[in-house]
Amino acid sequence: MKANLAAVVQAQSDVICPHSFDQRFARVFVYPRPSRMPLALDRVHKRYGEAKVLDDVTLALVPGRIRALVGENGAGKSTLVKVACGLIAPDQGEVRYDRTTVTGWSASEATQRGVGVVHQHFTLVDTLSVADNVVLGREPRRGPLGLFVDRAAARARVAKLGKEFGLEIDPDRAAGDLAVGERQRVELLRVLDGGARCVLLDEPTAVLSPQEIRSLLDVLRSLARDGAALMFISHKLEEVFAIADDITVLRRGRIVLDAPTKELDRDAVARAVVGGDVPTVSATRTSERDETVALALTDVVCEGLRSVSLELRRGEVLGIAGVEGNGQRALFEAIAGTRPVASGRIALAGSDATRRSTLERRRAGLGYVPEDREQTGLCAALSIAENLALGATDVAEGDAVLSDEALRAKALAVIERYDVRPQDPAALVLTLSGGNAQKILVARELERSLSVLLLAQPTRGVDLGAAAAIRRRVLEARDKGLAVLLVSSELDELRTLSDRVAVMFNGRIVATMPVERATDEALGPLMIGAETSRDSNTSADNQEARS
Amino acid sequence: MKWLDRLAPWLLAASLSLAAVDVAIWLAGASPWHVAKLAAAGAAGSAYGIAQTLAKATPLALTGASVAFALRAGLFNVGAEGQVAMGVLAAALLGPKIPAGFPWPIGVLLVACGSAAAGALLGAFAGWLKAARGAHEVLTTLMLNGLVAVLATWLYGGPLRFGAQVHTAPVSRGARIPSIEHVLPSLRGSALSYAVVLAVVVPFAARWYLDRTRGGLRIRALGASPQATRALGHSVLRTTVRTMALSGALSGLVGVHYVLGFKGYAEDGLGAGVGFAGIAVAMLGAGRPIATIMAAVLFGALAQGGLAVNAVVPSDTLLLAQSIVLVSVGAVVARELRARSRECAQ
Repeated sequence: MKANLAAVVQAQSDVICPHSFDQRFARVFVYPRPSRMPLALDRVHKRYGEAKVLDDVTLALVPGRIRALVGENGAGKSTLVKVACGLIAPDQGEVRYDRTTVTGWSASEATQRGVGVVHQHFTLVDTLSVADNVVLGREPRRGPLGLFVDRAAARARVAKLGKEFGLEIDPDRAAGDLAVGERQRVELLRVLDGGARCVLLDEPTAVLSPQEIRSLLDVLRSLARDGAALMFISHKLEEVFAIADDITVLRRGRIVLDAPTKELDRDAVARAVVGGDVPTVSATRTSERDETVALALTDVVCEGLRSVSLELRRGEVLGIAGVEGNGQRALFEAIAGTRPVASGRIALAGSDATRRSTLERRRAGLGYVPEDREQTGLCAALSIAENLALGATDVAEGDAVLSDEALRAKALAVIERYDVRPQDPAALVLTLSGGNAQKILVARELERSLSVLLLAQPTRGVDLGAAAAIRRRVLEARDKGLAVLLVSSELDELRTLSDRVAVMFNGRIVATMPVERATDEALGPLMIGAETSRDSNTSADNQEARS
Repeated sequence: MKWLDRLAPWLLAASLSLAAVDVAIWLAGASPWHVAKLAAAGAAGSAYGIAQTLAKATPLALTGASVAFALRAGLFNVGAEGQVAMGVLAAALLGPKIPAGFPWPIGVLLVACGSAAAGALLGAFAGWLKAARGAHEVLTTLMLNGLVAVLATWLYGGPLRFGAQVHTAPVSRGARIPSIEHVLPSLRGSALSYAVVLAVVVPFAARWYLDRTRGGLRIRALGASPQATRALGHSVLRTTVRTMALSGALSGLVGVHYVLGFKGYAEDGLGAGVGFAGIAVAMLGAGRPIATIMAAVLFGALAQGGLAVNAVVPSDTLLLAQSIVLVSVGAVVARELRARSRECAQ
């Protein structure tokens, strides 16, 4: 990327004209006049030890435009955001803001001057209310010497802001009680409350349901219309193309593609991201389907589940569609044995497992990839080799004394088969990118002899190449007879991998259909509960799917 | 130069604490240089001084290893104090029962098992309270400390009193650890015995267990993520109880040092304070055996040096040094560790 900053800005300012003259004229009196180029990186370099994380990166954020930053896990996207908002100082190069050089400014300075960041991991205080969280650090004051926080003013401020940007949320609820999508809104409200003119979002949609994504994108669009400069990181090309004005692709710390969206197509971006052809996954079976029931649930009731029955056969993938929080997690935990079941029956390979412990179920061939990778899936503070060793369920599989060579050998085999980077069995999982950590988790389960796999959000936050690798491994295992229960918030993924699709709503399975019929139009109303259970049809669908 | 980078924070912490202690001595009206000379001479200036320092370091290395062990499972065992008292009590009960004609290594081993079991029992109870009933281990272990202390005072002053003496019945010859003064006559009267071997072996053994066995891996997994432990089907209850039992056992072994190696009997207040000092040792040692041993020796030297300067300044001045070392190491080293982990996370 040799183009210098002036040229980049020139090229981009030619196309700025997102709102009418009237609107702009009005803004002059309401807001501080938006500068033409609020935030820019000029030939920024950053390295950690031997690794070049950012290599000669030049990029400018322009008011009224949305830039998408795309790249594989570990390409340097998060580092770029951190450099831009003052959390990290670059080794070389400059950061400019509002026509002044601000290289090495602090994060609080950046916030004060109007650069807001919504980080990948939420930073809310769970015990405080929404309003308190939003105004934290800039509380409206009242009383002598401004000794007290003016709660009413804070609430009003948050409500007004929410209305203005379409981010309405009850200011009195505790942040800890909010769903992920709502938490995200609060994060965004906080940034906006700080008067941000330049907003950076690190993978804001990774944890959101399709509906939530749609409403977030609407909010971002209206922010841009208001003259804010936006940049967001995403792995999902669909939304990138839906919303971004410009797309920047980062690969191994270098900008490999940077152009207005209308000059690009999806293939070109995907190729730039992976640095070659995008691996495709075909669900074509290499084996016949089996009629043996691997997992059966009969009227299972527990906290979060209101009577669920399902049957999963050998070599079958049953995908579960649904807006998050409709019982998917409860279902998986009940089957895995980490959530007590009030009534009903869970059978693994025909024998009753309702009262069996998690370990006994795992020994009977149950694998579990939970959606919460960092906390429930893996032990982040332990190494790759140790995490793989923890998956062992058979006492004979490892003696009391662990053999270092055996662990290393096992880990190296997984690292090679799943293309994990770094290729170091002793690397701590917390140092891995999300995609690589996910590969370790999937490998830990798939490398055992399994008959049923519970697979939740297998490729969330995982880049294209790694996602394809994980999906391929799962399908390989399916062809060898593995039964997979899959939960994914990406409907495309569900359709690629599943044989049948079930829809969960409000703690129940409201419909089951063969994958051919699981179109957006068919699933959408069911997912939001607009269409009630079609029990008569459901059993017919089941019959059909099995035959 | 990598080792220098690693050493730098420690050197900084050492000079900071030295400066602070000097100010304290100067405020107490003495010459810091003079006091330093006295303390150094007392703790390391003679064979006897060195022996006393090591004898004082022995229980600290054990309790330090004990606290550090539980920390790997994310459990903060502040009950080493009570577990030590249990170990002392068990040794005092079992020691006299060993036939006098027993070869001492076997007798000592039997009593040591008893001491470890007694400490383990107390630890396991706190572990069970934590995992099964949800009572926080800091509270329960702290409370159990008080309970055991009262129990010991009553037993030593009443039922276990040996005739007119204010201590328990003497340990039989078949369970006494020979004093080192038979090898080095100049150590006459020193508290040092072969129990010092425990102080060297136990921190390494604890680390080996955690790093190299499946049981140790599960303990570290629990420390890394209780949710993951549950999802993997490993019992959080059993792992918690096992961790606290093993941690308590290491503290219980201190009884071997005091009763079988040093005094030959138990009395009220024997071993008081080493459990809490062990928390500081564990913090400095950060789970590494050599650092744990070095921290124990440092605190042992400060305690012994404190006795030597008692005539000039209160020995508490050097006790103050312990706290200052802890605070400055906490400030400097923790910052360094944070910086390193941040770099790793990138």
